[in-house]
Amino acid sequence: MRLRILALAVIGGLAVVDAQSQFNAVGAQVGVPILAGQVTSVGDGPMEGVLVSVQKAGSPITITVVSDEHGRFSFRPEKAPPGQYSLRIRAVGYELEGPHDVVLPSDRTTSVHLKLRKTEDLAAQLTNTEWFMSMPGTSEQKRPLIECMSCHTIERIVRSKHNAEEFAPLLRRMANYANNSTMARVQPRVAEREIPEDRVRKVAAYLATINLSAVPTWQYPLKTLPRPKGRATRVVITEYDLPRETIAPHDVRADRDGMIWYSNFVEQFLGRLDPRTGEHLEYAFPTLKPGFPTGTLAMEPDGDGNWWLAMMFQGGLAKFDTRTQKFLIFPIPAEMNTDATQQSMVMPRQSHVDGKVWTNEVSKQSILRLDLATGKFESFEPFAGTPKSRMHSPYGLAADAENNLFFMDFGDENIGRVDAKTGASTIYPTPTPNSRPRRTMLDSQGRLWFAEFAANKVAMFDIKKETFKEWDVPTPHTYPYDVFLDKNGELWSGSMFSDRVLRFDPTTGQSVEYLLPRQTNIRRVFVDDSTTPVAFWAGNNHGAAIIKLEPLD
Amino acid sequence: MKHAVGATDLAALAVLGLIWGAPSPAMAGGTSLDDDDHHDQPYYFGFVKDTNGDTVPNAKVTAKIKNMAIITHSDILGAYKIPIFNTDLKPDEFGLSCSKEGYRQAGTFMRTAPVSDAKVPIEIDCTLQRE
Repeated sequence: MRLRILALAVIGGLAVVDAQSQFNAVGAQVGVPILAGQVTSVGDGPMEGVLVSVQKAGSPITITVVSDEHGRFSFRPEKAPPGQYSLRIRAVGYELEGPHDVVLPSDRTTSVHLKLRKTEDLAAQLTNTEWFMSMPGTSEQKRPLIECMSCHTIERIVRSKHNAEEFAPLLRRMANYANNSTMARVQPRVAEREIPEDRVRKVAAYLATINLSAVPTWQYPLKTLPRPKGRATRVVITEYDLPRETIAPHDVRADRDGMIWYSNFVEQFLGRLDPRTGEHLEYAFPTLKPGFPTGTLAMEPDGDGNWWLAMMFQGGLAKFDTRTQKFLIFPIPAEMNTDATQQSMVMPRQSHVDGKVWTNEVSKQSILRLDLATGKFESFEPFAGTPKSRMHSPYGLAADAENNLFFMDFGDENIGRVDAKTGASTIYPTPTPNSRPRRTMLDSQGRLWFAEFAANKVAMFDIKKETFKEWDVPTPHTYPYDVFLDKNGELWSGSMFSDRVLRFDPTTGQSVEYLLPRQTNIRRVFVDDSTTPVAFWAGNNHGAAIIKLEPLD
Repeated sequence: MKHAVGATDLAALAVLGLIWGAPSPAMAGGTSLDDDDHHDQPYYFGFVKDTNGDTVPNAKVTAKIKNMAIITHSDILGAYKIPIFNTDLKPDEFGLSCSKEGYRQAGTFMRTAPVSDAKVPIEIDCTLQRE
């Protein structure tokens, strides 16, 4: 098939959000808070670990701080310039009493006293993790539900009134939605999938025991996680709302100039956010297969800082040349392209070594490699010769200095390697069975850091020694999605479940979990090492927002 | 093109966790499969021992099949497990070796004869000799 390279003009400036340019325009004294206060409740007195968020009227930017052990909190003017703000809190079990708006003048510190009262709707405040902790049932019964958070919260399930019989057709229907579906944009698959009837019945029967099909309210106690304490309260979180609720930021990364780029899981755009001004741009690229689900998953830079996107059900790879601001599209050729074709991952990091870019073919459990000179794809079957009944799924990718590929076997429990020269594969089973390794990064010392999604662990694989280390994450039912090792050797991780960001020191075993202000579905995580302390970035895949988390230590 | 699923595949998969259909489907950009249970799957296991019969922990164990290698390490008790092999391989399609610094391999001993279609794990011990 003739190579199709589509060069596209940029569609830029679709939406420009409120600039944060007032940053330095304020008369406020440096170091003096613009807003300070204390959080108390009748029963508890001063409350530690309450998230206090302020959003300026008309601005897409929300700033959050956390109250200390005396219940005190403060905002700096460089984070919250003068103006009118709405105010909200997050503290599981509580809600804010009284007015929620505050006007901040520039010439003095505004003081507020936030009084909390017990909430009457605790269920509305639970994270997915807390629902998983609360629901009765065996781990075998709960385990299938960890897939549901790809598209929606568990709250949606437990609040439903379907009985087992009503659930069955619903499950069959949802199984034929693409994984790049959100509540704001549901996308049916084109290639239909059959579902074994006994599995549907089993899951449907369980769901009917945890929801409101037979009872007016939940008969099991709702368990909650403790509020942040100590070090976990010393943080500032910035949320940048994106201009459409359909935008589903999946992979988020900073470039060399500090611009934040993201892949959109359901739409044919590459997004860019200027965190200094709040300016938001989107770059459009074409739909290759009309009628098929749209959107991209992995976004990775090549050696020149160009962005590569894995085009999912559109079948192929897109390269965004950051210099010319144009896309090059590499479609999967017709003879390899089926209705089930799906590229979720791309690894162009070492393509300058041999002119090859790695990707995957999810529908065939195989690896593909693009030759940049010819536009041809070659296929690798890393599990050829192993039992067919065993499900594999090459997922998170990394490449070493010779462009040998390392992949996460998300369907099973292995790290795999494909030799760039011979195509031979090496499989390394993780110490924990059924771990389902998800996304990964390779550090400068030749260590792969990765999240073991189903094992609730983060892990390291030393490429030279061919050995593993694994660590339990502190909170059960976190199901970590990805990890990032920062310049200090600390590991950061996010989750689709817990609304918490994990910071973990593998040398001491110490960890901090930062609670986020909203329900936050995190996929790829990124740490900007250019500042001290470092800054953590991720997308809220179901919340149309980009999140920056700055620890104060 | 519809995604075809063979009856045999479905039968084999029925014991697994939530299956959204196929041996090659995907959710979350990866898999739909949630298989907590690999008990029916064939695997190789055994011990790495020295020539005195004492177990050797943290030795590298390599299983080779055609163009693929599976690599693991023996645990603190000298035991290893290689979970994803067929049990019906012909002898010349399969090789198991072990290594550790300060040792050379002395031999392997298959304790369980591979039987086609068997669910029984195959036990192979690997012996190292001090250099």
